[in-house]
Formats: sequence, structure tokens, C-alpha cells
Amino acid sequence: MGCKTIQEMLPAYQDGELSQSEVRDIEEHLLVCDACRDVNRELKETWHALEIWDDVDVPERSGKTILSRLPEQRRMYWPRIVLPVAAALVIVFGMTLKFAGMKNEKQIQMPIPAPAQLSAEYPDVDEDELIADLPILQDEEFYDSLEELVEIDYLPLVDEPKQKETDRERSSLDVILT
Amino acid sequence: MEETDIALMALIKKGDVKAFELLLARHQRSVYNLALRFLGDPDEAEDIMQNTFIRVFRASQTYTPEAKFTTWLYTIVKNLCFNVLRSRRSAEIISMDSEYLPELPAKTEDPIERISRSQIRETVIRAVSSLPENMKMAVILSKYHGLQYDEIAAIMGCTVNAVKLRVHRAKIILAKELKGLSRET
Repeated sequence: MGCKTIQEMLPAYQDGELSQSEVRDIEEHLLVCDACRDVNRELKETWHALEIWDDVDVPERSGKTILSRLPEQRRMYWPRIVLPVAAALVIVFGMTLKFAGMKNEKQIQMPIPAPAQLSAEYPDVDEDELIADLPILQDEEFYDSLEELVEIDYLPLVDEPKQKETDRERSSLDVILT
Repeated sequence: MEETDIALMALIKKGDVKAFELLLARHQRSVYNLALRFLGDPDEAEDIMQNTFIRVFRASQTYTPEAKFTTWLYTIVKNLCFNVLRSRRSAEIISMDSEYLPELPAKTEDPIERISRSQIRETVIRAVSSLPENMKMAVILSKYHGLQYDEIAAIMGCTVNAVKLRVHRAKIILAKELKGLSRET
């Protein structure tokens, strides 16, 4: 292995991450190469030298600022859920009220005209004539409709003779009881 | 007995502000110094520290301890730091604060001569700060926070081998940059 390869492997060597054979190769090389030995020493010393960049104190106000923001955050936790729901409810409620109001307005705007008003508005129309012209359901039509309903099982069939028998039995029972 | 970070988080979830104060006191220094070393700006570091702990407080409602608390905490810090870098780039402010990071002595000058401890410190800061972002974060977490490579990998969202490679390359770069300086410290 050449010096360049050895020097690139030195950090891993110092971290103890190389195989036994690689370690042996490097150590043999370091015994005979001043340049690589210097690099090895520089690497160790530089890493150690970084400690001169020590920690600095946190500005005192920082902790207080964070704590002063906490109640705000806590207040904000539930409102973040509750507020949108409340807003949605208010909107729905408001719209319901508005539509209801519009309906009422229409009803108010269109009052039911009084009969006197109607006759005043339509003086040529005779009420009796209107009634006479209305389609009157004839008796036959009524019974035809009933039969149709029975056919399509809308009305139950009542067995008349049986019904009469039952009525008779009930009346005889009444006589016995009395 | 001292409460663990995870136990404190459970108390914070119930609204225990004292537990939060304890957690803040325990970690604010490391959070602040991580952001300061990475960004090199005390004001931005302070903002990041505040935002980190506000996030911790908010997240206490949903926090589930899947890893070490500090891994989770430093992941928040790292994300916020990279967000700052992104906004800096968009504002085309890439250089570090010149007041905080003084100029390096000329390389031809023998660094051992005439330099005080504070100058050595400034030189070290400058050298670490000039590392590529991912390399710098890995070095800071490893050297100044004593984290293992697997923890750093979890924070940075990369493989352990990637972290090792970054730290090893950083060591070589720093050794070249700070040649001769280390004997002074």
C-alpha cells in the first residue's frame, strides 16, 4: 500500500474499524514512513485540538421566552381542534337560518288572497260555474277503481257470507248471555 | 431519583410544566451549542433552540419513544438548522458571520507563532465551519456531543458507513487545515 492509501485509512485505523490484516499493514508502514507517522499524529492531535471550541452559555432570556410561549401553545392545542369545528357549525347554522328566513320572506311576500280580493281581481268568473265544471267522480268509476285495487292486492278480500255467519254467531251468543 | 427524558415527556403530555422546565434545563445548552456551531450565528441558534423546545412541547401529545430522546431531539435541531441554511441560500447569504468567525491567518504564516489561545480557537472554528454541511454536522455530533456513529446516522437519515466516511474525511481535511496548530492547544 502506498502512502496516499495509508493516510486515507488512518482515521478508520484510529477508530479501530479495520481488519487485523489492514491494521498489521498500516503498523508496519508507520514503522518505516516518517510522513505517514506525522499524518497519523496530526490526525490525533487535530481531533483533540477541536476541544478548544468549548460550549458557550445559553442567553438567559431564552429559557424564559420559551416558558412564556408555553401557555399560549397550550391554549392553542385545543382551539386548533375546537375552533374549526365551531366555525363549521356556525356556518351551517347560519345558512340554515338564512334559508329559513328566505322561505318565510317568500311566504310573507305572497299572502293568500281573500275571496273578496279574488272576486275583485277576476270579476267575470262565476263561482257556481267553476264548481259545475269540476270533474265529478262517477259511482261506476269508483267501483271499477276499487276492483282494480283488489286485483293488485291493495285491499283485502272480505268473504261476505263468512262475515255474516260470524255476526250471526255473535248475536246468538249475546242472546244467551242476556 | 432523576426522571428519564422519556418519563418527563410523559409528564409533559399531562400538562406538567415543571417537567418541561426540567427537560429544558437539561438539554437547552446542548441544543443551543449544536445550532451555534453549525450555523455560526448566535441569534439564529437562539431561535432554533426556542423553536425546538416549542416543538418538543407540542409533540409531547403524540410522542412515542421509539429511539433515545436525544436522537429525536437532535433530529429536530438538525432539520431546523438545514431549513435555515436553505433560506440563507435562497437569500444568497452563504458566508458565515464575519464577526463571529475571524479571518484565518495566512497559510504561509507559521500558526504556532504569535497566536494566542483565542486565535487558535477562532482558527478551529473557522476550519470546522468551512466543512461541507453534512460533514460538519457529523463532526459536531461526534466530537462535541459524543454521539456514536449509529446515533448520528439516525439523526441525519443516512447509513452508518456514510457517517464514518464523512467523519474520516473531515479528520483528514481538518488535519491539513490545522497543521501545526494542535501542538499549541
